[in-house]
Amino acid sequence: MTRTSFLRTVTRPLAVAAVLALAAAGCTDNPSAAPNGDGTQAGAGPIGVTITDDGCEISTTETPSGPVTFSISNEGSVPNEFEVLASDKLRIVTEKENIGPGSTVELTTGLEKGDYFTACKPNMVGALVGTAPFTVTQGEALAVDEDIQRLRDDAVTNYTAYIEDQAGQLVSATEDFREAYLAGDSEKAQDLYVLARRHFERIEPTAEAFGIEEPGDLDAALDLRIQDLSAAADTPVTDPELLAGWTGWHRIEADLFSDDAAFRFPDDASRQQVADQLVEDTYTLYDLVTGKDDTGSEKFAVTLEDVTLGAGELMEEVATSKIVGEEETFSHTDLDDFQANLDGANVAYGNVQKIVEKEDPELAQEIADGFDAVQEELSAHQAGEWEDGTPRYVDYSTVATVQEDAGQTPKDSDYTDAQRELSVAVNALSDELAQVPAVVLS
Amino acid sequence: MTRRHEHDASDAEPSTPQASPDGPEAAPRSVGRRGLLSAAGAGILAGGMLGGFGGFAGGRASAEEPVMADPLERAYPLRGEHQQGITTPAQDYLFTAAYDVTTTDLDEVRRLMQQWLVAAEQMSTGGLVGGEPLANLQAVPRDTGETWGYPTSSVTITVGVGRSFFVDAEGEDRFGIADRMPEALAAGVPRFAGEALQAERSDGDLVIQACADDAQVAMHAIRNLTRIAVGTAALRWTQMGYGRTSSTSTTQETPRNLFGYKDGTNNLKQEDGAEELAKQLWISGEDSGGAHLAGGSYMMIRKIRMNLETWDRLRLVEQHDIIGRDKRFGAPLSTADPTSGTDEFIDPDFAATADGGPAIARDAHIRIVSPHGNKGARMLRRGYNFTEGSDSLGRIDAGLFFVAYVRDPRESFFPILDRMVTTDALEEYLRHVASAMFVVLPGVGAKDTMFGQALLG
Repeated sequence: MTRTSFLRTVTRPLAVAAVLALAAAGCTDNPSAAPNGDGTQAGAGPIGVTITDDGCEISTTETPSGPVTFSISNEGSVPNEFEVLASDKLRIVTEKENIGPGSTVELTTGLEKGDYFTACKPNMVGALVGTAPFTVTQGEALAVDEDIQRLRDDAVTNYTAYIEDQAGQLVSATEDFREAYLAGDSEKAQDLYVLARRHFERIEPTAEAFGIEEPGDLDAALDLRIQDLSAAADTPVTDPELLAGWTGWHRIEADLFSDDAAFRFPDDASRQQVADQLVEDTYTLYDLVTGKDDTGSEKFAVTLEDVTLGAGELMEEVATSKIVGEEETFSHTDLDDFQANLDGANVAYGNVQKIVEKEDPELAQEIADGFDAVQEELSAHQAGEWEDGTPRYVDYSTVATVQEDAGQTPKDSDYTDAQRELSVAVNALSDELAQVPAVVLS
Repeated sequence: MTRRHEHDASDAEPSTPQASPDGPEAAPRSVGRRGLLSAAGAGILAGGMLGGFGGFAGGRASAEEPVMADPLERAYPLRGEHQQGITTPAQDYLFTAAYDVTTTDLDEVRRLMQQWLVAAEQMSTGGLVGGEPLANLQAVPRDTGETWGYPTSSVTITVGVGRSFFVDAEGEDRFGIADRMPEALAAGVPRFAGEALQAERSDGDLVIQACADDAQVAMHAIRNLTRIAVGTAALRWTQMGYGRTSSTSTTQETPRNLFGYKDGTNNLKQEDGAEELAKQLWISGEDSGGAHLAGGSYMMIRKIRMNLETWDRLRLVEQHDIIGRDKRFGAPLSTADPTSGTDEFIDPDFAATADGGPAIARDAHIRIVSPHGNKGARMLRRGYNFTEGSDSLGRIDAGLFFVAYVRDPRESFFPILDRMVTTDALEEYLRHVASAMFVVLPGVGAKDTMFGQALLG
């Protein structure tokens, strides 16, 4: 599967994020500044909003850009909502919902220079009430919160280093694997298959994004599943021609793990060729991520967006291909891949964790709990340890309903309770991780 | 009421149907509900039942959605050059059934096609199967009765045959007419990358597509036709669909798929004219199999499970980039700052740039499936959403029952699907779980006594 985030990197100014970063500081530094009587606001103090059942009075129509705090009092008889809308009166820039009658709440946000509207919405439904234009003028230039900027820079630096490190370990582990595999030591090769792939699975979203000719072609060469090959009608997956056009880890997996002789390489020469190609392509991947080779389709550069999305993408890999047992249809080592994806997600998230903790401590706690919950479900299937002390897992087909040897996929109603529990935990964590970009990138 | 405040008044569409003057789909008897949805201010409110003030209460009806007194009265003629249910303005519901023929006797198949035709003609005029009930109370009713007294509800019934109708798994001629099988059907559907097909939900010897604006009417059609087939053909799979996902007429609003996007804006439509439809949609007399199938069309089916949970976790900017359209208005991303629903119909500019890259990403869905990138090949899409409860992993089992009609799938459907499964960013969130190809029989002629008279008669 080729994910796309590295290609569709969205360039967005950090200004808004910087403003937001400052917002919290702004409201505590200057909580008592009051708006002037002339309808403009002098400082960063709260702007008063008075809600009635048929009105939405705002104490000023203009304010300088930067952190802005609204102090909203609902003097009406029903719960209400206050919104700041973009100039199209459609998109919500910020809002506070469910302000109870008789209560006063504060809303702090970063606003850039521009034309906005403010409005209220009784019961959070129906037409806007008291829609009024609201202008944000150019304020003082904003210094980006140094603390946040340092955390951002660190996140990118550290994640880049992690990817390079894993790519390096992948190269040597793949070479070890090739040696055992070509020597015919099947048992050792089967173990090394798992150990080498862990490095790949930890950085999968990165590895997938690369290409020699075009993005994704390196991933296709290294990690293509047989299900991803197209062919003429009625072609079985054991078709020799189909198999001949297939390279990478999973081609070798079929040869090494399947009981079906049809998946064996026809001869030693073709076995050697695919194994050599695997090592060579892995070197290419390493050269591309470490910058030794800049001839690829995309120059490797980790962005803050990549770091921020990395954890979520790794967990989506788990949700879509590991839990249903499609990834390792011959070896059923999906749980080891799962652990590697989880490890990689932990590292990616760890790099932005401090930013999340600072901006949204509640979310940070939920994510921490979510990681624990997934690890707990996974650990239930541990079967001993590898030599390096890391957990080793049971054959996934013993606890899950999976596709066997790239045959028919299980029915939607056939998944086991173990799969369901893993899925529910992963889903919950993914849902929390999906909120991270809005916090870190804004 | 603001529930649909994003609608611009200029969205309003003509409320008269633009039926083709000479086709079998001509002159539906009244205007569809969909066609009126956005005719803001039209004073055709239904009385009492739905009221006109749904907005605050969150009800489905609101002052902006006038309801016709009898929106379900439309009926389409069964006979014509082409079968109904293809260019017919897509109804709200679909019920499709595929059958395995259980007899080895061609005469029994012919009898089935005769009985099906009679029943279909009766149902498509709003009647009961078999006409009025029998006087003999000791007899089993010929019609199952669940639509007795119901309006016709735009019901259409469309019949086709698959490769396995002509030849069995070993390639043996089943009924002595294998030489009439067109090449495209004989060649079969290629294996596409990434598919996870379930055999028992795929293919089939015969197919019936029943569409209607009332789900129960569509269900009634399949139920009764299946009943008639007992002993000759057995159900293989069925599929219910709702929320049509494409427009087959310009009088219809482009609907949204379950990812929330307007899809199929550039679909082949009835109003494209006879020449374009002949080029893209209908099997001609010169085509392979044309001697017996001219006027028919290939019905290409892909049942596509959509990973809703994964999709719903994507940031809006990613969703936009993957589809290539803006979510609110449906405008292509090459249109900066779209402001109204009509922006949807602006032609995508695939050369446009934004922020130093293509405005519509290289792997955006609309770029991949665009006719520009596919040698002008188009298809008539007639898909529906499906929801079948949840799977045992706790996920909603939902997606798109994709149906396309084409003149030759090798020219259009296969190349487009291949591009889609290998390069479309959207594929990451999709899973093809079933597949089928049928050739829809030619239209039923004025003198015909069975579906597929030219093929089987």
